[in-house]
Amino acid sequence: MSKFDLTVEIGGVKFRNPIMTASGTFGYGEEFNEYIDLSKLGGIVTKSVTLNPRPGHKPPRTCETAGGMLNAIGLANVGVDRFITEKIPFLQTLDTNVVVNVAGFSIEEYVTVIDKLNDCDGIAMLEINISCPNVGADGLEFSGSPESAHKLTSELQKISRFPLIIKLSPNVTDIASIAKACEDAGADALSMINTLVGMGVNHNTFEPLLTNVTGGLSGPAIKPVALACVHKVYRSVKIPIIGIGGIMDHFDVAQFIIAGAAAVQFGTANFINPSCTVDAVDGLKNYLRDIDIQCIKELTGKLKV
Amino acid sequence: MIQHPSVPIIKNEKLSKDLFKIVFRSKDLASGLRPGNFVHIRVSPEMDPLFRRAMSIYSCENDTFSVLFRAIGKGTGLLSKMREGDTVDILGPLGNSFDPPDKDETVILVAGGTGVPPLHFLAQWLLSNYGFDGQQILFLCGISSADDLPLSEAVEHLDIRMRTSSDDGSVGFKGYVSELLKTEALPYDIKKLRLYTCGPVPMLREVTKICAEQGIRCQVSLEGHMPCGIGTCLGCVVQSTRGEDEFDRICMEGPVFDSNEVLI
Ligand SMILES: Cc1cc2nc3c(=O)[nH]c(=O)nc-3n(C[C@H](O)[C@H](O)[C@H](O)COP(=O)(O)O)c2cc1C
Ligand code: FES
Repeated sequence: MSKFDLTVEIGGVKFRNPIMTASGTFGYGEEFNEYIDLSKLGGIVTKSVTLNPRPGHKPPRTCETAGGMLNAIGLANVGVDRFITEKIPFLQTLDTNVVVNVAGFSIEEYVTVIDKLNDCDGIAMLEINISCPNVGADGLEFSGSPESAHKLTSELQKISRFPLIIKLSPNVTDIASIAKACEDAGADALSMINTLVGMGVNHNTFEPLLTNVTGGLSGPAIKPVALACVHKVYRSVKIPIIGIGGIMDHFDVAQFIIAGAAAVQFGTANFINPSCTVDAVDGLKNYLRDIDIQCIKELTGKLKV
Repeated sequence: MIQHPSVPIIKNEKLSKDLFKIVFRSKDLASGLRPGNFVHIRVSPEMDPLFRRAMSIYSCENDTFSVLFRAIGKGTGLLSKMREGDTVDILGPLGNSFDPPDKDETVILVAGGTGVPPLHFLAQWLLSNYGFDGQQILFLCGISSADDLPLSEAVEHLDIRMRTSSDDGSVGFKGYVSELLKTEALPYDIKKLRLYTCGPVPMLREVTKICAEQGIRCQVSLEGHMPCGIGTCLGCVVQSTRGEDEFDRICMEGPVFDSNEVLI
């Protein structure tokens, strides 16, 4: 038994430690099984699953930027039916919390996907990617206004058998008001941030670097934005926050927790170093020893302002 | 474990103003690498450049392997400055490998520029592990000018047949290597011919077009942006000929594809 307590609780679910992987950067866990011991992680979050299979955007889908990357994968995934038959069996064998990330283009789509997942074992929580356009209504992203975020969250909360994490987008005027709307609608937790809209241009060919023209910026370059979002939201809601954005090591983890997060997710960092998450679990213990704190929960929101 | 956190460099050789050959020591990697495989090298512990750099293999011997590359950007620039004794974090072996030809086939390897390394490794492998006779292997090496002579010299030591072309005519045949292929492939019985190619996209398009027209069996080795190299980001895809909405990951299903499987 380690004398440091890294456990956290989110939406009634116990996590071994506050370290998880971010959606879209960890596949369905299978690939990483070869590199790391998944049971050392607090949890893993799967690639967004949608009602229908999605091939994704045409390449090039990614490019490197200063301290980060742009991606326009286009929510490529096998669709919920194949997810259940092909991916869930492996996920069920894992000794870690499995968080299934769900995306949709109308409230009905989210509802149908969650209905199907409700019948599955081996899922600890759902994370709802609300950075998708509501093509059924105004075509604007669910994450774009407190009203649309509230409506989606309350509809999903009604039918989901699992606790819900709502994943927020930073591409909004006031992330705190959206966060508050989700909390009021019954969200169990919030995660943030999804990627920032960005683009790249080739000055020789005049072409965009991504076929989709714009993409999502992630990696160390977005960490300051993510920290500010976490802190702002921490001051406006009571439910737990999962910090995401440019986290590379245990010091970054600590910074997010101090800013107000209960737990964190590693995204782009997995591409650079497949063992970043397990290294950070070890690093975090040493960090707690150095600052003489026993329990990671004590650190949340300890920012001195 | 396919992450090798500290692989020592035992030699870094500058071949021209921007071409470099680096030799690494790692018994695990050297014994596991097959022609077509690549390694994913972390060129700096810093955040910029962030991504690893994917490199195909030039050669493998006992406990060493080498890569041959052009220093064109920040990442390859950093790698080119590394010295003997420096260590780097490497993931590998990654990706699939070339399908071997039949023993009685003639093999044509068509390389353009820095497409040379994986085909050099393949030629070496055919000679040493598949008992191929040097006369059965024809290496067509396309370079832009005499500045890139080290690329063709990197193949010349092999006891195989070889022709070089250069875009400006300063070395060998004047013109594109695909033009050279048209004349060189002529004397052969198509059914007993196998072609492998690697190089810039326009060249691959030409070469695979010729193969399709003539009915030559051809495999291509592709390069692409590779954020992860291990199949999780879906960022490195190439469009498949299975359909408009079908993509394959270069890092997992590839980097080697049958030329009729992918739309380059
Ligand atoms: C290649 C790639 C694919 C992603 N796919 C998804 C996705 O399917 N669903 C989702 O909610 N977020 C997705 N994200 C966003 C990440 O989960 C995360 O919120 C973001 O990358 C910021 O964290 P990071 O800086 O640690 O990468 C993706 C990010 C990347 C880089
Ligand atoms: S580089 Fe990430 S899937 Fe191929």
